[in-house]
Amino acid sequence: MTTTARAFDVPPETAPPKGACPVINWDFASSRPPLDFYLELDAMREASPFYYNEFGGTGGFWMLTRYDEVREAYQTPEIFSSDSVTVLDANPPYTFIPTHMKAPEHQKYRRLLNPRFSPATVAGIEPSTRQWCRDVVGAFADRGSCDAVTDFAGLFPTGVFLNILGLPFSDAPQLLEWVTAVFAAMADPSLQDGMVNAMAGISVYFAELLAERRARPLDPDTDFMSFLITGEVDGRPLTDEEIGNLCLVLVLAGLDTVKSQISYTIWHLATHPDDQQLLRDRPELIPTAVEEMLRAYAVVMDGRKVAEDVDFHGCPMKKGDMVMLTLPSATRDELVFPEATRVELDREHNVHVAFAAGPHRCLGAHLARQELAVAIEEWHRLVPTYSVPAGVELTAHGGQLGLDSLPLVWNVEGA
Amino acid sequence: MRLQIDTDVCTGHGRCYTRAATLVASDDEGFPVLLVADVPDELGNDARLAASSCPEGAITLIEAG
Repeated sequence: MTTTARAFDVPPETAPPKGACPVINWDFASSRPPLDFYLELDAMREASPFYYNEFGGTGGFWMLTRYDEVREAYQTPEIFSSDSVTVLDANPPYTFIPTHMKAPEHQKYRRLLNPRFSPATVAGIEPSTRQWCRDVVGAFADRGSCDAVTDFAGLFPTGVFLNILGLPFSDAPQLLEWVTAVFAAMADPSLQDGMVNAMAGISVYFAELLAERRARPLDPDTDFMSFLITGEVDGRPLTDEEIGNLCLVLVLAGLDTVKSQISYTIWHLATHPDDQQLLRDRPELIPTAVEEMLRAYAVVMDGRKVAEDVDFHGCPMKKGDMVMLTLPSATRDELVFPEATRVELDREHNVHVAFAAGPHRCLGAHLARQELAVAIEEWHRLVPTYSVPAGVELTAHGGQLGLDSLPLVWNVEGA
Repeated sequence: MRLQIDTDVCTGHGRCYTRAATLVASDDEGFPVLLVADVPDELGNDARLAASSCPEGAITLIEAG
């Protein structure tokens, strides 16, 4: 009796664990030249709509690179859950309201918050947003140079947020420092201690404000904290814990995102003089240009957690897996946007999902749009033709894409 | 032509009433309210803009047969 092992006796090799999905190790965090993230993703998307990315040391995560599948995932929250939205941390040690919530609880909080972030409400604060923007840009406009990240992109949205809460602008640097620490940890889990400390700092900061407003309430129609104090869910008032949680979420969602988007917007205009001149000549294009900047330079590497085993277009996803909804790739998908990798400031048809899609669509989208439009308008009203000084090598960081710094120069009249 | 908004799919991006204020308005929460469902020819371009700006694909335009 001989046993001859023949190739065909061997059980067929089991299917690769990631199906037909290419397994890669793509660093989405480390700093590199600003456009490189987008160019790398353009090439990846061209080659495959899906990847399994082993980067980050947490076992890896799926990546969706194209528009249709990203939107499908957003619109299928029962499978692509928001239990975690950070791909390197499937089990975050916190539950954000309403970020991590599911239907029907999620909608209850959104119904409370939506009117405060509606276009009509947001329009009401436009004059103060604009005045703050003029103050920020005015502080350096006649200097002939600035760092657009530290002097403008970070400071401006932070001041808008503080204004909504009735807090002094002088708190902006501290708030920014905390927010920066939190986002650093999302791209590098080894920095989690800094994140926890920063979140604790933010929590104490808002707890003090809450105590102050409970003692001396302001008009809930204009003061956000007083609005939260009078706000109800399920016929009961919000608890202190819920209010603190919501404020933490708003500060994490509303500051670094806008900062990042402004940094890419000003960088693009500084390095594309024709586009800069176009917006000076035709300011009526600014709303369309804002949408195009959101599309061409989406900054959020969003995440969802798989709620049940699923074969998603051939990708064998398991319950508990993390999935990156790669917005900086999806919004540059040639299958959806003609000349997708080109910036066309007058692009008429633009269905970008830079603010996500589905039930967790960005609550602050209308406010962000206002901030971006005001930023472009006021910047160009006060700063003449500007550029990046020769010899400067710019970098941007990943996680949430944004420039590390953006030195600019311009001619000052009479100088 | 007829303009339809699928309210189950809409999540309030607000692009439709921003691009086509002649046809769609916003409610208190920022969700769209259809002002004109049967779109007259002269507003056809607005209707196409509204439909082609929706990130959720919630807007359908039915051209008259």
